[in-house]
Amino acid sequence: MSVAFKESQTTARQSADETPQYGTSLLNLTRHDWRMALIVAEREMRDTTRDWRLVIPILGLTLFFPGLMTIVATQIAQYVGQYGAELIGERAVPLLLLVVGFFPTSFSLVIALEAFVGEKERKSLEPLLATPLTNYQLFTGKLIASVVPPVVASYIGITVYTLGVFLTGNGSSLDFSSFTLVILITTFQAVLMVAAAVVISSQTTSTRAANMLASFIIVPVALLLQFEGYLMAFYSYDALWWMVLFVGMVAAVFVRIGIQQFDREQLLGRQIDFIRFNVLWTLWRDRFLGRDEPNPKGGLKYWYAQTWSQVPQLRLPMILLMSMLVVSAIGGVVLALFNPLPPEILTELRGTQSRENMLAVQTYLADLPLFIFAHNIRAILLLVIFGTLSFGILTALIFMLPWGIIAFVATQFATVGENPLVFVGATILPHAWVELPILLIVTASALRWQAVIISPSGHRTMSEAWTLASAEFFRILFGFGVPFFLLAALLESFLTPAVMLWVYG
Amino acid sequence: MIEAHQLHKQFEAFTAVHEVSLNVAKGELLALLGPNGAGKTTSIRMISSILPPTSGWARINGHDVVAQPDAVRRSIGMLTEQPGLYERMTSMEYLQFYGRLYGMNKSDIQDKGLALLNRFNMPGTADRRLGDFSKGMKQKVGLIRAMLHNPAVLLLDEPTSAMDPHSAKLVRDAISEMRSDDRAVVLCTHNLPEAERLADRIAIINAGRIVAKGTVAELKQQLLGAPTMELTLDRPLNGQTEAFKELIANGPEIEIETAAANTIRYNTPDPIQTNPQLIRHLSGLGLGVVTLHEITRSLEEVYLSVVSEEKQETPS
Repeated sequence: MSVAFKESQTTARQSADETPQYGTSLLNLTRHDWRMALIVAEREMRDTTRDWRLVIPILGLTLFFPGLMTIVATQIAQYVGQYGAELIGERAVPLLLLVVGFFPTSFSLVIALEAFVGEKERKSLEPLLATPLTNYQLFTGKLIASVVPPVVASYIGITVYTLGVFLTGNGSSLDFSSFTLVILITTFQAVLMVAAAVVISSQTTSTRAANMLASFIIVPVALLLQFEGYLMAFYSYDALWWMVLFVGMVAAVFVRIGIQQFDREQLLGRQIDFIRFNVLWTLWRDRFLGRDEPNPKGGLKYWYAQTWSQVPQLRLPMILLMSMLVVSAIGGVVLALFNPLPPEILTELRGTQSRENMLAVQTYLADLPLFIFAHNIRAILLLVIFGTLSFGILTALIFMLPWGIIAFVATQFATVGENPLVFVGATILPHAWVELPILLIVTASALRWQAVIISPSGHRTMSEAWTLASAEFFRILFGFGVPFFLLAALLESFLTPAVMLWVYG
Repeated sequence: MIEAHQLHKQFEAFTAVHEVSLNVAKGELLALLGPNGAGKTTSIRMISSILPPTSGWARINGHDVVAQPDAVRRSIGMLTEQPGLYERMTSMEYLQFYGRLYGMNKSDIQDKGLALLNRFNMPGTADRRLGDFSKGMKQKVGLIRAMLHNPAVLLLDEPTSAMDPHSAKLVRDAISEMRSDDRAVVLCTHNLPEAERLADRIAIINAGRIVAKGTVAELKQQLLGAPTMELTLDRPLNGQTEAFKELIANGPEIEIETAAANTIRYNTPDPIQTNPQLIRHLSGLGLGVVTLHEITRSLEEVYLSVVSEEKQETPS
């Protein structure tokens, strides 16, 4: 045996020097990366198919349940048909298709939740981490292994149900759009759940803890499914296409979070889950007050200088938001051109009528500086809450909204012969020159905070990086946001009406 | 083959490894000893590119552990303290999985896997599920996994724990054989006789620092003092004691520990030089030497002396 060992030694040593090409992100994985990922996935899938606790339910949900749903669909159609409500029976067919597609994917959670933490508990993680697998290869392999079996089971279930529906004469209720929508929703939802579960699995210390955290996936996805069911039942296919886009984006975000937060040291080193509120509070306080620098100085002037020095770091999110502003404005113009307001409303924008309306508005505005200020702050807080829940996606979308509306209205002015630039110059610009820059800075800071989970955080843990980014956001909000929003509100209340009066009066 | 320079690992406020430097050449086996939590596993994880060092550097087979982790891991075969097998797989499926991750083809894995299973006294187990194996068998499969791709460096954490004496001997023989294949081996163990038997050099790590390093003989000399020899004469020293004392004062460099009847125990830093001189002098006095041997001092004594000394210096 030792002779054979020595003979092959040269080859093995040489191969260690021949470094294969590796991808540097999930988007540019090389053939070698895929090969390695598939080796991991193949082993995992083989393991899954040997676990009767998984195989039996998946088989049941793949073959038995769709058959049962076919019968249910037929029964519903017959029952409601007696009362002349055939439409309900027809809509039940795609609705049940959605349910048939979803159920097998729910098992993806069981597999994905133990992707990493299960290996850790079985003590098989370290030998795996000691192999030449890169983080991307390992993560992709785990992702494939968790997604493929349930999604394949789901597709088989959908096929069985569809065949059953056609064989029982209800095929006409199942159109191509609903079928495609269900396939896409099922796939993206499975990727979303698996990616979220893999994130949980790589961040917890036991399968017990991972299972407890799984509620944070199951409950929102169950609510999402109900909403999708509602849309499917009421034929709201446009909304469902948007839903496909949304679920796809969130799934992509979770995949990104998973790979970004994949840390061998954390995986091996973390033994106990605990939240160190006191440490996080100290971090937040020191960053907010500017005490975490090597030689901090006191005083408001120094604090402001420190806060201002954060602004250049926001260049990237600001560029992104400005681009979205332009896109939104173009979208508003296009929407207005294709959807002009009804004639009776357009009349209100013309000449004398428009002036009267503007002057009526200015009397309101002059009385409401605090209302405008409170509205802006409330908008920022909503943007923070929804943005945090959606990892920044809704922050960007909420930011886009007012500029699209302004462009829409300005274009409607143009369609009735009024100068849109005069409209913008008189009604928006007098306060927007203060409001827009500060809104841009504050929103960019919020976006940076919310995106910290999906971007590298250096030597900091996820909770530390998140805490520090939140402290930086609140510095910007209190340091610049509050005073400048107040100034903008005063301008909007007093200067803008004066300009409107001067232009239109 | 293994070069580590001032490797340091900090986990927040806790220093797991403090500026550890190691060198293990081709064909050499280094035993890394230390109490639980001393930093052995963290050092091994840094050397195998699983954990990045906070500072310092290490090169394995010429590859930097931070810049070229993939090449480092391909050069390494690692047996962790618990083998961590996939218990629903058969042993051959398991070896196929790991072999493929190291870029080996299926037939090579099959041939080497079977050869290694036979070598470790496990013939006919290729198609048996790992879940059915005993602890010792699992450990052997873990070792086969580590050896399968003929790595230039072997990192073995407690390779013979949970094994019966026969299996442990098989594994020790295999490790000894692998060292002679120009391979560098690091052995972490609490089994001190095993370390003494296998290791060319020993490094003792405690509280994250290397506190003693060298060959077993060097460590014994360094930590337990000069070797103790025991001499048995053909008759008691009675009447010759004064002459013997004079001889010691002017003759070879020895320090008498005990002298009773016809048995003398003495310490000498250089027995190779001293003992023949002493025997010659004793013959001159007309005393015959029946036996002369070194009093065995175990690695355990060395280890305990280092670790207990360190514990006294660094109260926890």
